[in-house]
Amino acid sequence: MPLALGVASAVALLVFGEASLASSLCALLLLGASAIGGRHLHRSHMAGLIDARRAGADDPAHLRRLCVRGLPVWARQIQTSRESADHAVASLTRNFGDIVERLGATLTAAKYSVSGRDGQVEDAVAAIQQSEAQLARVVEVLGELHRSKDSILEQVRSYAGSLQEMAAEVRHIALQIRLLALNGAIEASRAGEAGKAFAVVVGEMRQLSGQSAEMGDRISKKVDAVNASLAGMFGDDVSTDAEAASIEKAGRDVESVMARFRSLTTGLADSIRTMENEAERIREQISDALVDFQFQDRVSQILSHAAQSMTRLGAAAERRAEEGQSVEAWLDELASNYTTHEEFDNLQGKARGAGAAQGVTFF
Amino acid sequence: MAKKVMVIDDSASLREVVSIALKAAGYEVTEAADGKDALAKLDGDKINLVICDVNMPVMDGITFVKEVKKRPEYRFLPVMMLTTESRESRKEEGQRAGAKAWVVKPFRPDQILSAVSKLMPA
Repeated sequence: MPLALGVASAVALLVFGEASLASSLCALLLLGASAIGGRHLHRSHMAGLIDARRAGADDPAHLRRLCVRGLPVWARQIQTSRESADHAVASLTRNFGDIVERLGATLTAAKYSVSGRDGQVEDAVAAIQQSEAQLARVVEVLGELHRSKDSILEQVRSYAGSLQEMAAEVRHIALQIRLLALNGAIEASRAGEAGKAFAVVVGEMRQLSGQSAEMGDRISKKVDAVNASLAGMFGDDVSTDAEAASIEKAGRDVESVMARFRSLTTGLADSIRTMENEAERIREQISDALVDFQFQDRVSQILSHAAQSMTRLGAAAERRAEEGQSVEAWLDELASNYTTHEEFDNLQGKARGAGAAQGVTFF
Repeated sequence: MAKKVMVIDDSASLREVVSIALKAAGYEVTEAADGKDALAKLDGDKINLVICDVNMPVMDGITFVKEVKKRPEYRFLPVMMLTTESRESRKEEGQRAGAKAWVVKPFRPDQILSAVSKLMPA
């Protein structure tokens, strides 16, 4: 009997649960529990039958004694199986509930690890794109600085050239003054006493010529020193070209690195989206499985009522009260405790129909 | 602050299923195994709505609703019955006791959440 009830419950469960994983698991649990209960019951039942045959099984009194002894045992077996199934299904439900919760938490953590504060993976891709633009601007500014430096250097070199020319001119003028002073000295000597005063002026001119030549040399040296310093600071044309090449290469490297980052982030975002969709589907399936677990409540109630009926029948047999009670009255009493439409259908021997109307009624 | 729902059912798995749905929707949940247990827990807690099974040991759901409605502080506490019972006579009994809704098991979580938000507007 318990095995039959277990099989019936398992079949009902698979039908109610639409053969889902949860339903299948619970069907197996019920079958296991009922098989164990059934084996014990079968032994006691067979022992009772053997006793009854030994004592004269055709006697209704023996049948009643069998009921008195057997029915409470069956009821207890059903109750034990029901409690085992209740316990197992409650545990399964809790575990599935935990899985749903942890799945959600893991998914949220994965999203936050590659995203901004609001948890959108698109933010990571946008951040990479923004960083790429900023780094490109940095490379561009470096290029501009390099070009400005070249321009300034060129200007300074140009000024230095002009200064060198001016210094050479100063030296040339000093030479001409010197020649002029030399001619003046010759003429002063030729003039004799009258040229003495002129000779003093010519002497001053010669000194001035010497000072001008010296000044031209000093300017040339200073310009050379400035040119040497500039070359030391900025290098020659070869090194500035190398700098330009380095800046260009840095730009290309930044672009390449950012492209790899973008590719990785996009791939990661795609993976997370896929994972998110999969996790959502798993969560929905588990949620559906949890809904299917509601079969247990119905099965538990049906088994509970069956066990109660057996106990009452056993007690009635003991009191011999059934002799005074009609079958219809007994069935009415059974029905008074029923709650599910399956129980009423079974009582009336109907095939399982679509079931009672489900849903919400507001008062 | 999250609204609090009390779930009363002798089946631990049923309580778990209802709790998962409610918690996922942001409600706080407290559980009781029967009407008597629920009455004891109700006293020390601020509950906004009760979801209650009908057939339970110790104290059934209809008796629980009647007891709750006797207490002035819980006179307006909305109670939703969640049961395998679909007989009209039992529904009427629940309505007379003071229940506001009757949901027949098995249910879908969205049915429960929709009914909860109807009985307990934000």
